[in-house]
Amino acid sequence: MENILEIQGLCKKYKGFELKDVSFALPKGYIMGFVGQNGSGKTTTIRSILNMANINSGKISVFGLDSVSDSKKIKERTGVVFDSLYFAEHLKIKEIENQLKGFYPDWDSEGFFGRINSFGLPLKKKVGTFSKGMKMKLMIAVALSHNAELIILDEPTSGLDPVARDELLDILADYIADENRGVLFSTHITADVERIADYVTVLNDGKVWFTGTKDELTEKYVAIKGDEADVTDELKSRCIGFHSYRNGFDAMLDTEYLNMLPKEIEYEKISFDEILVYIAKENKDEGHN
Amino acid sequence: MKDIINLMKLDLICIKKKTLIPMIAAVAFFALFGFYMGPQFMMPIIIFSGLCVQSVFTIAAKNDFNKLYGVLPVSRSSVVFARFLLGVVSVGIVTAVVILLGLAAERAALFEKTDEQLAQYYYASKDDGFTIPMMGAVLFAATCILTSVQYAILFILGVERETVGMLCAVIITAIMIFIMVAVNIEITTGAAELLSKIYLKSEYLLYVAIYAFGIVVAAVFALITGAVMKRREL
Repeated sequence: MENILEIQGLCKKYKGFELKDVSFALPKGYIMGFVGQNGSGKTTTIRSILNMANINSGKISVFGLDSVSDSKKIKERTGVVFDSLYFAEHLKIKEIENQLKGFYPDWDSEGFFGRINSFGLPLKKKVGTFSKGMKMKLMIAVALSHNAELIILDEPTSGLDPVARDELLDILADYIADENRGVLFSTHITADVERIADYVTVLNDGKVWFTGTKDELTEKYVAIKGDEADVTDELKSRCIGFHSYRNGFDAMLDTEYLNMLPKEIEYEKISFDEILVYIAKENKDEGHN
Repeated sequence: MKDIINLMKLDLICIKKKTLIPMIAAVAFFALFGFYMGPQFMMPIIIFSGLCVQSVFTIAAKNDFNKLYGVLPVSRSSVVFARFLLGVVSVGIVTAVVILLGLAAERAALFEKTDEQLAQYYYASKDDGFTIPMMGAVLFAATCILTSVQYAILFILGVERETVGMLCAVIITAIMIFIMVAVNIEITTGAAELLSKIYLKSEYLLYVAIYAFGIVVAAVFALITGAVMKRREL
């Protein structure tokens, strides 16, 4: 399987935060959900991929090209959607198209205005007056109009209503029908990942906590609960986000330790949301210790 | 070069509505004023033109253009060079227009009927060498220098700290002048001698030298600013 994006040992240090040895890969033809709490390093990773941040060490390749020395070639083939509009708000769509088309050898004006029309975006209004969903669609229309092979989205659905979110996810699903393309989208809305992602990378406190297929993740962990008295110290040390309360406890457990579970303790399939919650609880406990 | 032209176009589209119409109106007003009061009164518009492109910095800051520059297939230094070039070209175009209008006003001589004393002052200055092309060249160079300093400050310190930056630039200039006076470094005599030599060879050569000086200073500031911004994160 050819990778459209490869990150190896990415380290980036800021005052008070650090990306530590981030490594993952996105194969061609797939969508990767990039999840993590707020402040876990998703946006920093994306900015590093786009050479907007100067990395301290590591290697990032997109289409087999180096993200630093071949940044221009990469961006000609990459579309990006951020969580906020990055065009001048006093301009109209035609003026923005006029600004952008010269930068991309494969710019498709007909395709761009076709998408604008199908997205229902008005040509005569200033883009600053658009709703959040409309601004997102505009950025997507731009991203799709220069034959981009990779689309990177940073929290594209945050602040969108369910209908707009659904529309956006449909657009991405259509886009990835071409097996030569890839999508990386960062989000803390795990329902979006569950809906369309094939691969998932979970970032926690600047480190990759998991990277692999969506199914691997949900099959690797289970939620356990029961009476705390039934938990051995060894089992407790294997638990993630162990939380005790008056009537018992709950935690997340790697399935490789299921053989350590006594009969009295129940386990069940775990959702993405729960995974992130248990990771957060684990962080909190480590902080207190 | 293609990237730089596209970036200049991007900036121009941003400021077109906010700047072009006021600029045309200002040129028209000063031109009319100059026709009836004296061509020298048209000249300040050249300095005004240097301020016009500046509004793109505010637009860029307000609309988070760092993200746009991060998305577009351009280098950080190209963004800087494009903006400096747009500034110099804008000032150059306005200078050319003002010189042509000034020469036309001189030819029409309507100002002689409006105020005799002002007209006499104008012709006396002209005899001293302050012709329309000379004033245009000097103001072009001065505006290039002023806007280059301003753009460098705006790029490096940002729109929010522009006032602090300009204050520092003024203080540094004052300190330099003070040191020159204190240590008796005399550059004005030498500069005047050089300019006189060039003028005696050819008046047009002097104009070229003055224009070139303005452009070279702008280029040096652009290079320094580009080098600083290349290392900056977007």
